[in-house]
Amino acid sequence: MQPSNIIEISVQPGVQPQIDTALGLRAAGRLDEALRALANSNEYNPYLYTIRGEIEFALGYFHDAALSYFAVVHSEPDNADAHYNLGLCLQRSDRWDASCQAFERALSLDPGRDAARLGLGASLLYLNRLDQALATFHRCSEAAQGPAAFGKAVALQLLHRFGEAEIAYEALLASDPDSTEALSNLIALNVETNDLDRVRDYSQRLLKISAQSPVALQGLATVALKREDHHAAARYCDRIVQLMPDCLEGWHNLRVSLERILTAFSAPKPVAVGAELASEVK
Amino acid sequence: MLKLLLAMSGAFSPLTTRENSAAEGPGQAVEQARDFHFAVTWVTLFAHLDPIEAAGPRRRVETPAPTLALVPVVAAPLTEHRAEQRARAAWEMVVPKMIRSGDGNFTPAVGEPKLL
Repeated sequence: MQPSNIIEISVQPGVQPQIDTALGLRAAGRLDEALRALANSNEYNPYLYTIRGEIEFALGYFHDAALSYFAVVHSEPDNADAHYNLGLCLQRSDRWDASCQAFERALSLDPGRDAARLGLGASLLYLNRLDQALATFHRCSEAAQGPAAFGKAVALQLLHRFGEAEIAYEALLASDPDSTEALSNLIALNVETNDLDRVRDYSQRLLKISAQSPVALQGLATVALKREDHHAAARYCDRIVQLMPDCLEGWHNLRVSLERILTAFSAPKPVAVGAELASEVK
Repeated sequence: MLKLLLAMSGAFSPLTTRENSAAEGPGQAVEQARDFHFAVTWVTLFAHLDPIEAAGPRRRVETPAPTLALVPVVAAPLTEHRAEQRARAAWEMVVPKMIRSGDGNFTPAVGEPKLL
C-alpha cells in the first residue's frame, strides 16, 4: 500500500511528440489536422509556436498566426525570422502600423534582409507615408532590385511625381513586358495627367496580355468617351458591365453612350425605349 | 449593334433613378459621363513576401555576462551641500577590462572588471 504522504506526479511527455505529429501531417498536406495536433500543449515551446504560426499562415488564419509569432518574439526577442513573419501576418490582418514595427525590428536584427525592407515599404505605402516608403525601397540591395523598383514607381506615382514614376514603370516593363500591374498603374497615371494617347496605348497593351482586364477596358472607354466616339464607348462599357455588373460608372456610361448614339440617329430616346420595354414586360 | 440593343434594357435597369437624365427634351442639358475609378495598386510586392519556415528548434544564443557593473544611481544633492561634499568626496572608477583586437577594436574580456 502506498503511503499517504506520497503525491502522484504525472510525467508529461513534452511537446516534441506533438511537433513531430504536426510536421508529419503538414508534410502530407493535412494542415487542419496538423494545427489540431499542436493545440493544448502543456508547456510553452517557441518552436511549437513557430510551427503553429507557419500552419496558421498557410491556412490563411493570419490573426491567429500573428498571435503565435507574437508569443515567439516575446520569448525570443532576437529572432529576426519570427519578427519578419509577424510583420507578414500583421500586414495580412490589415495592421499596417504594427507590421511596420515588426519589419523594423527584423531589420534592426538583420539589416541585410531585403524581404523585410520590401514588406516595410509596402506597409508604408498603405499608411501614405510615401517619402519613407520611397527611402525604404531605395535602401534595398541589388538582389531585390525588381520589386524595389516597382515599390519606388508606386511611391513616386502617389507622390504625384508622374514623370519619374512613368520612367520607373517603363524600366520595369523593359525587363518584364507582361507586368499587368505596371500597365494598370500607368493607365491610372495617364488618366490623372489626362494623356489620352498614352491611356489608349497602355490599355491596348494590357488588353493584349489580359483580354478581360477591366482596367484596360475602362481606360479605352475613358478615351472613347472623352473623344466622343460613342460607338466605341458603348462597346467598351458593354464589356465592362458584363465583366463587372456592380460597376455603376459602367452602366451609367453605357446609357450615356447609347443615348448619344440614338440622338445622333434621331431615333427614339433610349429612356423612352426602356419605358416601353418595361411596360411590355408588365 | 444587336448586342448593343440587347444590352440597352440591362443598361437602364440598375439606374432606375433618373435625376440626371437629360434626354427628355431639346432644351435640357446633356448628361455627362462619369469618370471610372483607377486605383494604384502594388500587389506585385506581396508576391515577394513569403514567410520563412523554421528549419528546426532555434538554438538559444548565450549572451555574455555584462562587463560593466550596475551601480545604483543616487539622486543629485542640493547645490549648497555640493561644495562640502566635494571636499570629502572619495572617488573610484570602474573600468571594464577590454582586449584590443588586431583591427584596433575592443572586445570585452571574460571575467570580473577590476577596480583601479
